[in-house]
Amino acid sequence: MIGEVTNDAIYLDHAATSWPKPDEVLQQITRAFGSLTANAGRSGYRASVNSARMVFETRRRLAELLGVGRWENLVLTRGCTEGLNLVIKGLLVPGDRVAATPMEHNSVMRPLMRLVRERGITVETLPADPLGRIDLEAAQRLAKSKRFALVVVVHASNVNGVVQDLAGLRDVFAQTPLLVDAAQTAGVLPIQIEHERIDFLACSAHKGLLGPTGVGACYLAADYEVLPLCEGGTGSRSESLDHPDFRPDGYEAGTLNLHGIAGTYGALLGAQQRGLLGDGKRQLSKMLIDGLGEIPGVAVHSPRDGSALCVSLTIPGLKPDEIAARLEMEYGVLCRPGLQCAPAAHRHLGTFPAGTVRLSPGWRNTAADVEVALRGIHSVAKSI
Amino acid sequence: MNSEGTGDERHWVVLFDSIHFVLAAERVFRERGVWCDLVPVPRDLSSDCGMVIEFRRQDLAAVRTILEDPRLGQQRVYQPVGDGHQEVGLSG
Repeated sequence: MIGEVTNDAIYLDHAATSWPKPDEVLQQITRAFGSLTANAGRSGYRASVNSARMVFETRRRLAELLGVGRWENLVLTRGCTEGLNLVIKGLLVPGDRVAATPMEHNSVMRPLMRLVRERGITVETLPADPLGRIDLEAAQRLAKSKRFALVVVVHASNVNGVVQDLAGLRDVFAQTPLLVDAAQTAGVLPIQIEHERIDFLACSAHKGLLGPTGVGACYLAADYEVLPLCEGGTGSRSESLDHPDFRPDGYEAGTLNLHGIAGTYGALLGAQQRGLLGDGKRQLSKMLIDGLGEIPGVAVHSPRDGSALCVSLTIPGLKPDEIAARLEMEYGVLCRPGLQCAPAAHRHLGTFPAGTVRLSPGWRNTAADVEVALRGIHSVAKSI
Repeated sequence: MNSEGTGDERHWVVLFDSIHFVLAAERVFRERGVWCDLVPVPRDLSSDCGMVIEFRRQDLAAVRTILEDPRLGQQRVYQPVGDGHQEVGLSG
């Protein structure tokens, strides 16, 4: 049996997933389960068309939010990880050279490392400052000295909240395809994919967009041929044994996660009214960083200039999971200790292998939540 | 036989590759003020997605313009002929 979880915790783990979900998400998921949600685009009866309409509206609204005019280039996925895998495995060929920031998540590094082994690609780390912000001048020298098949950038680090300068990077690698991991920034920071000349972007629905898990999106610029991750039924050109080569069908084999998409649709219904979440996250992160700076024995691994979207800290002499456990037990604060699935970033920050304690505020957190967390960390730090 | 100019007032239809394009096209029709309806694919035609867009034949020129939008994929336009349909060229 799955245990009940109390709702009175102070949830500071929004970089992992958002909570609570907006009412519209619950309403749409309830509607989708409570009435016939037929398979989309497979039949001409009303329920099937309704499902297709929901998928279409979700894609259209998401395309609008992300600055995509050609909605068919925004394909729906199971999450951000699948989108990143799609681009990396569908684009790169033997011998290719890739540049990546030192802050990449395993959702980028693991597929890249697989291709290092299987296709003989090479991966170079972009030069960066100690907090992981790309050094654009050094990157410019790198861009001039070598030819890259792809540049991968995590828009905001899930470890320390550092936000990369996408426009600067785009200028430096003006002719190189650019893949943006927007796991932490879709619905959080302004993103205008076509205007910013982003070639590929992957995101999930369940973080900054406040939707359910199991749904994501991946933008594929029209100029590139990217092999799909899988083939199968699409409800189109069924007479052919060859998979459709047009978008979005070519990348959406099999039945879509319609109930998850319903929740995503709900999230997008409220997105315009809520606005982007970045300002709130940054304000609370800054409060945390400023407060942590006054606690003796605490090391902060996030930028102090107000740009960070989350906060990583360590307390020498205490393991991160021990700190997190005490914060939960004694203060009801939920956060994420350890490597946050980003060992490369921790190596760069000098916090590998133990990792950090990450506090990631979100849309329903308040200054009072931050004060409790700071009180808790102060108490834990004082105890050594 | 051609229904154009014959007094046959039955609706013409557009067949798309995928339901995504049907719905995208429906939106463009509405934006441009061109009447359309989504109906099941006529029995003599075939499309997996199950739906076609029908429109009034006097709107053919406007429909041709709409279908030039690259976001709407590939399509075929049919006019009703007898008990079935006959494809109409899109180039006009």
